[in-house]
Amino acid sequence: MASADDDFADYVSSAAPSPASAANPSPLFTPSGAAPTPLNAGSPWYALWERHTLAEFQMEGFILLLLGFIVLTHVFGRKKNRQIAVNFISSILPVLSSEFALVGFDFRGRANTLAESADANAAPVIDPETLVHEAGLTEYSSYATGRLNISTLTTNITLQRRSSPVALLAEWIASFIFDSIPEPRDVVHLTVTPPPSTPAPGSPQSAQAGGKYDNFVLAVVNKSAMRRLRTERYDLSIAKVSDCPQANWLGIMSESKEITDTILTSDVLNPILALGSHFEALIITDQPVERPTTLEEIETPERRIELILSPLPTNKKDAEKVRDLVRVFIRLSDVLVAKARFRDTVARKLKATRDDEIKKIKKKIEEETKEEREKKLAEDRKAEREKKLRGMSAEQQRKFLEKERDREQRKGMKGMQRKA
Amino acid sequence: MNPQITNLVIILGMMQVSKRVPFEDPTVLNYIRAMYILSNIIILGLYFLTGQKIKSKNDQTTLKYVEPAPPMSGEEPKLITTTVREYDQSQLKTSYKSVLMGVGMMAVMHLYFKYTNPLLVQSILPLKGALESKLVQIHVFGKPAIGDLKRPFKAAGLMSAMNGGAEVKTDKKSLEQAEKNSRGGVKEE
Repeated sequence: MASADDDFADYVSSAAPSPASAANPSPLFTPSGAAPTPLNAGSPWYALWERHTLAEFQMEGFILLLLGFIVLTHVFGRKKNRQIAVNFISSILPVLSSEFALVGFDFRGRANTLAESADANAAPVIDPETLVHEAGLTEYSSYATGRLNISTLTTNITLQRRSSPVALLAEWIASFIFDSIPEPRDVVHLTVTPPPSTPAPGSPQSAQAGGKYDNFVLAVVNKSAMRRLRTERYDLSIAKVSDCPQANWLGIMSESKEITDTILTSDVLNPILALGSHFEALIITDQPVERPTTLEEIETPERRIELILSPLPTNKKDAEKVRDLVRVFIRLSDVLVAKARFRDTVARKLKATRDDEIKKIKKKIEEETKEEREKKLAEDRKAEREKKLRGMSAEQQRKFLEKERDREQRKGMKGMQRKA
Repeated sequence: MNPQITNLVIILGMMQVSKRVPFEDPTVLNYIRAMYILSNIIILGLYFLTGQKIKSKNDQTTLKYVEPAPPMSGEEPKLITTTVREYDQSQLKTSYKSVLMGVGMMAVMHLYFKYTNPLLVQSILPLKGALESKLVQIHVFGKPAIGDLKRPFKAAGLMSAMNGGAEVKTDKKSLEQAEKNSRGGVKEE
């Protein structure tokens, strides 16, 4: 009985508001109907834990998690892409440093591969990190110069958008639905630009005969890229496709059999055959990639040698094969200067193809300007007539107009007669 | 037999059958739904198998043909230079796309507009189409790629009629003509 009494006493005492009872949690509702206790009576103003729980912030938690995920993938994806680019460049660095005086970006343009120490055989130490220029999250490039027969070598590495998996997925889906959108992939595009064939007078290059060879288009391509390359590129589409006799997965685009036989020797083909599916195309060209629409675009040759590799090699063995191919690719510029001057019949054929294309553009431009010209002619005639009239007296004007009317009438009559 | 005529027969037949099927019964409806899903799984499986076969055969024979310009575009017919493998893969991709398209349409019709009848026809016709498709015939049933199955495939009667009779060409003369005229690298406006 005593305990029951105690309980009752408790009830009574709690009915009377006291600061002590307000200290217990959630005092918002008092069942007895007594006056509600003030919210923060007895606890400090900053006691948020008494008014809120963590469960209220579930949504914010998810948002934070998502944000963290986005930031993390961005940071890691970017790091990964940069790593891939640096790895590729450093895998071909031995070739680059043995072939070029300057590799990478030196703001003073100093040669950095010419061994200065007594030990001339020691490979120069170049930090591969400094070789890669990052132009966005998917574009990386590198540069080399300082070699006979080559003015520059640029390496453009285009990678998948690893920094944003969602965007990458969207790109995949878009490429599946629309044929015009290419699949995201990793591509390396090396471009050798030879020195201009007619150097400016007084320039240091005029002394050497380097850079002189006939303009032509020749390509070896992986057949799986054949269709895409031919529709994407103007320069390849002027050459004829044939099968490569050495491998059924290679196609050759050439303007003449003689050119193919002269340039594509086994020295060039063997590293390609060894590399296999990582090889996409080796292109020697003088024509623009985009279809030219003006005479200026088609008449200035853009001579270059391109090597396209995709997908990138992932193991050491393939990286070595890539290195061999890159060496052959760089030395191809010497081969061109040494051998690429063709017999008259071949040269004539090359010229005829280019002239045909120039003619096509001329015709197109003419058609476009024809209408404009006619319009202008009519306007000129009208202005002349007005000028004439202004200079005449009233009598002369009357006579002139009469004559004109007569002429028009006669014209009209003639037309009528012809119709009848 | 002409597939288009058999298609028509099946459609008419299924219309009669679907009149007698009690679609209101939820068990029956679920059976039909299951049948539709199963048929699509079989189709996708067939195409997947075809894709595997294409990859393993890896036929690198060069394939040249002239694609007619889209009607009313004023463009010149285009020369396509590809390989048998690439051609098959692009054809397979179109097949996959049409399956997805059909399923998407069916999903809207069934889930949103609550149509039930097409489920029946749509679980038979696409399966028949897949079995009759040229790629499946060549790669799964092992038929030689000659005659009707010769690449590039000719479009079925109705489709080519809509294209104004323009067809892919492989004769030497039009190939040479197109090789001279078709140029790549057109700038996109």
